[in-house]
Amino acid sequence: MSSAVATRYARALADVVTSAGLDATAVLGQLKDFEAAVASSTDLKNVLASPAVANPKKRAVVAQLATPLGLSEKVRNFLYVLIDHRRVGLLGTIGQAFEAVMDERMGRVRADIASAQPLTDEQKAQVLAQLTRLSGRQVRPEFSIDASLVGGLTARIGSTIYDGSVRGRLEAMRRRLAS
Amino acid sequence: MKRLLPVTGLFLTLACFAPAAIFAQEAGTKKEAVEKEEPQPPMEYKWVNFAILALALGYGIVAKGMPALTERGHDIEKALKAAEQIKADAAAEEAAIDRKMAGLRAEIEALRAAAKREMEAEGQRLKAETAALVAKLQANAESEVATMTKQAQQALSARASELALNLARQKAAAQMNASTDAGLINGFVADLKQMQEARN
Repeated sequence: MSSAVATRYARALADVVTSAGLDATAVLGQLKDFEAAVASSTDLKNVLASPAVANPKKRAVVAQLATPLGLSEKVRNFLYVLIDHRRVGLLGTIGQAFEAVMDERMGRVRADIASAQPLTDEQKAQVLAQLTRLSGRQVRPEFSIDASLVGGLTARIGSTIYDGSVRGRLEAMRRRLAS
Repeated sequence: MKRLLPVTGLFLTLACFAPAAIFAQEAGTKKEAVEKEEPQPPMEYKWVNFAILALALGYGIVAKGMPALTERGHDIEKALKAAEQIKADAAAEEAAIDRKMAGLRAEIEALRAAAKREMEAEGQRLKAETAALVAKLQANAESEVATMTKQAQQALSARASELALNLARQKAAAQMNASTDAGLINGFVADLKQMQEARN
């Protein structure tokens, strides 16, 4: 249910971003910055979540945060809309849905790439190039570190997982031994 | 029996009135003989009178009594025949009972023999059934043992492989360095290339 609601807000934001010709990545970065700021402050979280605080006061708080966080006018207005509809708690989900909606509209796919060690730029470029060829679409990579992989890396595009990690090879070996 | 009632009544009526007429005639004759001596009727009239009476009686007997007697005779004959038939039936039944009694011993022996055969057959059947049950239980037990053995082997194998893989993971982690990791990443990129080429 919340996913459907978040998608609706994300589509609305995507419409605004597209029509205004804004940088979707920058908008997403601003949303994440605001979310991080809210998550870091319990008082701020309580103010925005509490129904006892009037919406104009909440708006005023967001307006004060807009300058230091570098929020654009569109993003700030979008946050006002969330405050008016008491959907600030869905900001994280809306951000993810916004990414998916923008990827869909721009013909991109998201690739979650996890490696045991940080990848060099050259390695990132090689992996990205191969994933782009393989998927046939522009790839938006999300790099992360996962020490449990022991070595190597994994890449997930949609429901497809490409596993080149030591952990994956050991797991495959375990399945062969068990069968 | 109903037909005999009117005939009997007729005979009784004639028997009652005939002596009265004779006595009245005799009494009248003696009285008249005492009071006045009158001449007796001729003997021929008496005979004629007697003949008329006899004829009347004979006609009555012949006309009404004989058929009744004949019918009664037929009834008695029928009753006798029925009694004879009943007697014959009873005799036949007695003979049948005698025959049955005579064959009873053989029949009892046959029943005993049949019962013995059935008991033997039942014993054989129970024996075979028990043997089949034992065989089935044995097969089930063997199957269960085989399954448990297989499961134990699999568990043992899984445990051994898990231990081996844990050891391998530890060794790989200990030996992992930047060049090894780079080799793995290069291998991954090469695998992606091969997959792309395989698609094309």
